[in-house]
This record gives sequence, structure tokens and C-alpha cells, in this order.
Amino acid sequence: MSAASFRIYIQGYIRRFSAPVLIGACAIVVVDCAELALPLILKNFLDDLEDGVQGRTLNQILLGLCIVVVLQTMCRFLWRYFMVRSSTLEAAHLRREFSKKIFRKPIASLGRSRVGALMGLVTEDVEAVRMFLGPGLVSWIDAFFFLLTIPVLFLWLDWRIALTVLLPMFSIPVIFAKNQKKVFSLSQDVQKRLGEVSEYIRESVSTLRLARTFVAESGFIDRFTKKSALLTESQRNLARVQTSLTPAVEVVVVVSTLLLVCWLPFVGLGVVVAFQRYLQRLVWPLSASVMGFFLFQRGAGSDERLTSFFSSEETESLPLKATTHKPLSPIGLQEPAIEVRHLSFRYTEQSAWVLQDVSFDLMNGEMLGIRAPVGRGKSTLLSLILGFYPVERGMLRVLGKDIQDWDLEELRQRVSSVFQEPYFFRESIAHNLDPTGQGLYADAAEFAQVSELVQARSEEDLSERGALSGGQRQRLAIARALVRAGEVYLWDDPLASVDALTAENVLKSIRLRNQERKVAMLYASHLEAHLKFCDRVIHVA
Amino acid sequence: MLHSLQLILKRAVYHPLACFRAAIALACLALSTSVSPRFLAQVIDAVSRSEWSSQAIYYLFLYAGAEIFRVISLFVVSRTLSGLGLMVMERLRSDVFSHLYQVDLRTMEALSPGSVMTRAMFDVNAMVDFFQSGVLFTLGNIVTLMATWIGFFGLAPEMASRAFLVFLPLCLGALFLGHKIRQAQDQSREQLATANSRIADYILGMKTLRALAQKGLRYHRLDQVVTEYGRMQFKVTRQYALLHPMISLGVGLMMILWVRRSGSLGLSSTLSLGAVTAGIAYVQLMVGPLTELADRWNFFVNGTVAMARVQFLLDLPRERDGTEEAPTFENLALDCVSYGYEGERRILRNFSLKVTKGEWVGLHGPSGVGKSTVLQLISGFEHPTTGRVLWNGTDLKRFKRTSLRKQMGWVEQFPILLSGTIEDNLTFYGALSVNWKEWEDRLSPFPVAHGLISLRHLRIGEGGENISMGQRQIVAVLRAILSRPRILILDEATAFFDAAVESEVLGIVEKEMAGLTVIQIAHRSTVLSRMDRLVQMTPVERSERTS
Repeated sequence: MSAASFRIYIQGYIRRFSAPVLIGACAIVVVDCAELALPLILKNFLDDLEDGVQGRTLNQILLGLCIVVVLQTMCRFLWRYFMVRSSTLEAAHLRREFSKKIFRKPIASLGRSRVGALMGLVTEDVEAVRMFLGPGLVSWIDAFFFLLTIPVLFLWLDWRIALTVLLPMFSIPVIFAKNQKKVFSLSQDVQKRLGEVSEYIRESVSTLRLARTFVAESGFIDRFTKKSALLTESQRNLARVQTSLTPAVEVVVVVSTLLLVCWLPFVGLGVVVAFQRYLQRLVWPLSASVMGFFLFQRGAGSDERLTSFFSSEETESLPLKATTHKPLSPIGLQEPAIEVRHLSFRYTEQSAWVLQDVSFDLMNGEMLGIRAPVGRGKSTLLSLILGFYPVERGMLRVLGKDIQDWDLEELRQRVSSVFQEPYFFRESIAHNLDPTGQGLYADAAEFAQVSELVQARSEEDLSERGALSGGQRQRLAIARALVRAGEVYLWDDPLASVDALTAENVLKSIRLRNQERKVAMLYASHLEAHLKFCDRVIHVA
Repeated sequence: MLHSLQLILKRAVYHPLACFRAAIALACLALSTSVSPRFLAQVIDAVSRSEWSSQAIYYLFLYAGAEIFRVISLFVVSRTLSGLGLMVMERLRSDVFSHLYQVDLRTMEALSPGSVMTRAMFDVNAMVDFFQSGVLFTLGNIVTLMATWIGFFGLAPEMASRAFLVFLPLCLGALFLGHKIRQAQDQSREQLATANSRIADYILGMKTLRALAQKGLRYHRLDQVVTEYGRMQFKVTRQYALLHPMISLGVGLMMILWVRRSGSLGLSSTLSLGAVTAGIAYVQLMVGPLTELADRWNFFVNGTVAMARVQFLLDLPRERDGTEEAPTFENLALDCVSYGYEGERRILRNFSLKVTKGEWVGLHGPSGVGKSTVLQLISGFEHPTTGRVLWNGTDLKRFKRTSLRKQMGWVEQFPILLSGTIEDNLTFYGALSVNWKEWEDRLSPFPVAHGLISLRHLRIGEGGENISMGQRQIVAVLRAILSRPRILILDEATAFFDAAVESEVLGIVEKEMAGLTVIQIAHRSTVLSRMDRLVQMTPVERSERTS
């Protein structure tokens, strides 16, 4: 049950933030005590006023009032500051953990279609947990104090009336218990649909051009309307329960008040009035506990999702240093640079083999072409060399070390790759080429024959998909890969959209350069015109 | 804030019945809340005069009735308001979503999907809390406060005006703080959107950033915006933390004033014990509404901030569109067209091109020369800086974009696939009805395309991972063909194919587009040789020439 694990999480939170939570809780208790003291001071004042006593007593009463006001003012600030501060810090901590986690998860679990769900996790779910740890916990402490003290005051005033008045109150825990499961599953439902709709929006935003090109807008909008209606429906179901609970609690208080009034002829007026005042006081803590209850249920659901996310599989480590890499000393001439033996691969156990029994060696200074028909695994092979998927069958050694023994970050520093369809981050061209901001990309841009573009538009944001042509994007990707001098180059059809003349120039110069520097290069392509620059061409199927 | 409030109210008025019901229920709630203590007082008075008289029982029933009425009103109010909030939210969400499809694409593509999603989802969602918690408590408490002050002034005008002197700066202070909170809230929302768009960016580019060994660097950069958001969130809560003590202090001061004044005056014919008690009660009555206002103000402010952010999406300029239905395609001409991004860099200068029905035209030239721009101009996604684009001799601007695009089929350089099955991708989730049997026969000479059609129920995995770039491109070719276009536009469509598949695709195009028009950007001679006419494009520094 997730409520139980959420309780454990809350305990951990209180332990971690024990000092501020304790100060906050104490401040709440002081505020509440002052709240309870106020009627007593005023009662004294009225009694004195009736007796006609003035002077010193009045000053004492004023002093008492001042103390109450100062205490309330101070402690109201303190509890908010400390309780809410801790919850905000915890939320920031969760978001930071989330950020770390996405860098450690296997690449397969971070596909396009997961973005919406992940965003929901870091936005809505973290917020739900924070809302309980802050306002939720406060309302519970508050409610706890009044629910504990007011009945005692009742008993002290008159035990017979107290029992009558408190009797209906016992139905409140029953109401809560009955609705607990319902609220939990309904909030889960809402969160799930929220995730679906956000993902749909995100996908639609990135496929707007496509939808318009094919005049398929209405189809996308209809699908959205349906999803949106489902979300609203589940939100409405939750709201139905939510909006019934507070009135239900009020009904209980009304019944208690009516029972109290029945005692009027038998006891003094003062007692009844005092009871009535305190009953009114109870309304707030009771509705606060309703609010806390909802925040708890929502938080529990979110905590469950967050926990399962945080405990999900990790395949990579995250170097916590933000500094750029120190240049690694070259490993030296390990021959061969890449050694592949009987390598087979498929994405899942159910799917077909993408690579079957592939074997080859790549020597230093060699440019090895890979020719593969459409739909066969040349991109997969390069992904395996970069350690994106675990090798299950066969052997893959890079720079003299088995792929499984490599620290992936170090491996990728030594291997310089260009993908067929390059991704650029939503930042300037300069920052995409050299994210350190040092702007050390002039040579690489020159080499990739893209320096004119880079010089003219280096500060331009790459947010517009249409702003660069396919050929420009590909050459930019080559420049980006060349900014770091690797020992092995993996290029996946990087010149397919580039015109023949430019492509030839780039290929000629990279070949020359690699031979000089003894750099090994895998060049996957389907274009014979490009493959003819390779020393040797193999088939992968 | 007033403007956003106005916008929300306008949207609420779309649902007059719910508004009416909420208003009535709110009035009932106010009425019952104000009369029920009076009935209770009557009961107490009657009982203290003469045990349980029939009058006392009468008032007891009135009291019980008023209380029941109050609870029912409360129930109706909160349910109606939450319903209203949900309706406003759903409609707003739909409006935003459908508006996205009409916004000028260039404007749209400059926004990050993460930020658009934050606005369209999380900001729209804030409407529910705005109505469910914000409106109810804000309106309810303001009414209660006003009633309390009226009562107070009626009881002891001189004392009340003194207390009001404390209340006024309290209100001004609260408003000032409220303004600060709103600003902080606004900033924190903006920062959240920034953080979200960076998270989305990095998740989408995760493979690239890992391959480039940038994990540490990018994590640090992400951590910065995330931490900054935490800091801003904390700033909001810190300012909130000041609001409550201010109320405590203000109300406490009023209480002290009242006690001191009535204490030093002493009881007299003008100041009875009852009046002093009532004064205390009035001051105390203000605590609840003020505290609740401070608490729920949050939702109120949040709602208005969110509305302003949603309105930003709704205010994005629409795509320029014509009014007339485009006639069936006969010919197309670019007449001395110039084009440059934001006027800074010319991509095309005095470029002319004419394509008539049935012609196959190939565009070629070095990359970045403006070949894709020509296609964007033809489809009306971009507009020439000078010159005209003519459709059957009439300026393209006059025609509805959809009526033009319905006659065109597109195959992009990097095709985007939708999540779903291959069939979903080919028919846009069933928007296009396709006779699969017929197409299977038609495509039988083409093994790859035929294979994809028979695999049409296959779900395309995470980001198309289980389908190669080449297969993706064939899906894109098929979906352009299936819509039976009059003009087929291929933007480097065969760049990723090897010779065998390339000729298969060109075979499909030849079979299906026979007698129709094809405009194609390509580099390879194998592709260009199939065209009737080639247009060589050269950078603007030199002059364009057509061959």
C-alpha cells in the first residue's frame, strides 16, 4: 500500500529536517495556545468591566493582550517560514534527484513518448509531495492540537455535555476511512490522464507542421478533445468527493450544536456559549484535516510514482563535476581500435534480430565503410559501440577494452560520433558547437565547410526547426563532433543531405587528416559515392 | 491582474447557468451564515427568559433550518464552482489547443514545446483551483468583512473609525504584499517553464548529449535552472509568510485599541456591557475572513497569473490565410520572388519559376541556397518579401491554406513520425480512409512499401527506434501518396536510400503520380535524371539562372 510507504517517506523527511520542522511545530502550538488564551483574557476583562475595576487591572489585561499579539505575530511568521521552507527545500531536492536520474537511466526509457510523463513527474508529482509536506503537515499539526485540547476543555467545562457533543464527532474518522481508497484511486486516475494529455500536447506541438501540411488538423483536435474530456471527467469525479467531504464535516458540527442547544434549560448560559464558541473553533481544524487528508492522498500517489522512478534501472553514471574534461592522454596504438566478434543484437526478446553474427576489426588510421540496406542495423551497431545498449551476444572491444569494462563517459570522450539525424539543443549555434562557451570551434567549422554559416549566425538560437536546411544541420553536426579530438570516429551517414561537391571535399580532407593522426573511423552509409572514399567496405545485415 | 481577471470572468460567462446557480447559492450561503447566529441568540434569550417555551422551540427549529440551509448552500456553492472551474478549464484547454493549429508556424516553432506544454496544461489546470478555492473564499470573505464593518460602524461609529484607521494600512500593506507575491509568483512560473523546457530539451537530446560526453556539463546546466526555480518558489513562500503575521498584528492592534478605550471609559449609559462584547466579537469576526483570504488568495493570484500566461498562447498571431477556395491545380509560378529571414539575409533574390500540371521539376544546388524555402513559399508556410506566388495565375494569398495544401503531398527531409502504429501514421489516426486491399495490390511490385503496408498494425516504438531511418522515409512517401495529391513535393526524400530502395520509391512515385506534378529537391543524378526539367539554384551573390 502506497500510503504506508508515503508515511515512511514522511518520517524520513521529518528526520532530515528535524530542527526546522520542530521549530515550526512549536511555533504552531504557541500560536494555537495564544488563540485559546485570548477568550480567557477577554472574559477577565469583561468581568472586571462589569465590576467597575480599572487602572492596574486594565494595564495587566492590556499587557496580556500585547503578549498574545506579539507571540502570534512572531510565531505565525516562524511556522510558515520554517515549515514551508523545509518543504520547498525538499521539493528542490526531489527535482535535483530527478535531474540526476534522467542522466543515468537507459536511453531506451527516455524516448520521445515518455517526455510528457516525465515532465508530469517533475512538475505535478513533486508539487503534490511538497504540498503535503508544507501546508498538509501544518494543517495536521494544527488540527491535532485543537482536536486534542478542545475535547479536554469540553470535559473540564461539563462532562455530560461534552459526551453528548462529542458523540457525533466519532463519525468523522468513519467518513474519512470510507473515502480513503476512493480518493486515492481517483487522484491516481487524474494524474495518469494529466500525464497522457500533457504528452499529447507536447507531441502535437512538435508535429504541428506535419499536421498542417497534410491538412489533418481536425483529426488531431478531435483526438485531443476526447482525451481532454476524459481528463475533465476524472477530475470531476474527484471534485465530487472533495466537495462533499467538507459539508459532511459541517453536518456533524451542526448536529453537535443542536444537541448542545438541547442542554440549555439544564445548565448555565455561560457554559453553553463557551461550548458553542469552541465548537465553532473546531470547524477549522476539522476542515483543515479534510484538506490535509486530500493532500496526503495526492502526495501518496505521487510519492509512489516518484519512488518507482527513482528506483528504476540505471545503466550509466553521472559525473558530478561540471567542468569540461581534461584532455585524456591517448591510450596509444591499441590494435585493433575496434574489435567485433559474432555480435548479435535485438532490442527486446520478442523483436527480430537487428544484427546477426557480425565480426570485423577496425585498425588505427583506417577508414572502414559500413554498407547496410535500409532497415538493417548500421545505426544500431554504432549505438552499441557507444554503450547505449548492453551487448548480450558476442564480443565488442573498443580501444583494447571490452565495452562492458569502459567508463561510458570516458569512452565517449575518446569516441567522436555523428548521427544520421542530428539533434541540436535549444540554444545558440555557438553553444551547440562548444557548450563550454569558450567558442573553440572555428577550426572544426572550417573543416566541416560550415564556417560561413557559423560566423554569420553563431548567436542565433537553434529553436526553429526550419531555420537550417538538412545539409546545414548535418555539416553542423560534423563540426560539433570535431570540436573534440577523439581517437575513434563513428559517423552514421552524416553527409546524405549534403550536396555532392561539398560531401566529397569533406570526405577527402577527413580521410587525409585521420591517416595523419592515425585515427580509426567507421563510416556507415548507403551511398556508393561516399563509400568509395573508404579503405575497405563491409556489409552488415 | 484586473485584465486577467476580466478574461477569466468572460470565460465563466460562457456558462451562464452555472454562474447563475453559483451566484444564487453564494447569496443563500451569505444569508444563512448571517441569520443563523441571530436565531441561536433568540433561542438562548427565549430559554433564559422562560425555560422551553413554544417560542424557544420555534426559534430552535428556525436555527436548525438555517444551519441545514447553510450546509446545503455550502455544498451547492462548492460543487457548482468546481464544476464551473472544470468547464472553464476544459474549454480553455480546447481553445488553446485548436488555436495552436492556426498560429503562424514560424512564431510557433520559436517556442519550446516544453514551455507551450507548461502553459497549456499546468497553467490551464490552475483554473480549477481558482474557482474551487479562490473565488468562493475570496468573494465569501470580502462579503463577510464588509458586513462586519457595517455592523461595527452601526454599533459604535467613533470606535469603529479608530479601528478602521488600523484596518486601512493593514489592507494597504496586504495589497502591497499581494502585489509583490504576484510578481514573485509570475517569475517563479516563468522559471518553471524555463526549467521544464530545458528538461524536455535534454530528454529529447539525451542520446546526443551522452554521445558527446556532455553529461556532467548538461546536468550542471539543468541543475542551475532547477535550483533557481527552487529559490524563486522559496521567495514566494517567504513573502506569504509575512502576510499572516501582518494580519495577526493588525487585528491584535484593533483589539487592544478597543479594550483600552472601553476599559478607560468604563461602563456608562452609552457603552453597555453588551456593546463592549459585541465590539470584541466584531474584531474577532475579522480574523477568520482575513486569514482565509490570505490563505486562499494564493489560488486566486495563481489563477490570474496562469490566465495571463495562457492568454499569451491565445494571443499568438494566426497564420495569414485567404478567403477563397483554391481551384484545382493547373499551374504555379514564382514571379520575381525575394525572400530573407527577418530581412537581414537574402536567401532568394528575384527568383522566378513556373511549373505546369503534369511537369516533373527537380531543384538542385549547394545546401543553404534556398531550395527548401521555395517549397515553403509554394505551400504558403512562408511569404515572399517581394514578388508574388501565383496559383493558376492568381496570387496564392487569396486562397485558403487548407484548400491549397489538400492538393499537395509532402515528403520531408527528416520525416516526423507520430506515436502509434504504422497505420496511424499513414492515415493520421484514421482521418484518411484507405482501402488497404487495393493498396496492397497496387504496391505489390514494391517489396519494402508492401512490407510496411502489411506490417501496418505494428506500433512504432520509442521515437521510432524499432524502425530505421530508411523505413521512416518510406512511411513518409506512402503517407504523401495515400492522400492522392495533385502535386507531390519531395524535399531530399531519397537522401537516405540505397540505390535499390531509391529506385523502388521512385517507381512508386512514377506509378502513382503519372500525369500529375512532382517537385523534387535532390542532389543525386539518379534522381534528377527522372525529372522533365532541372532548376539549378545558385547563392544570391551570383545571379540565378534556370536551365
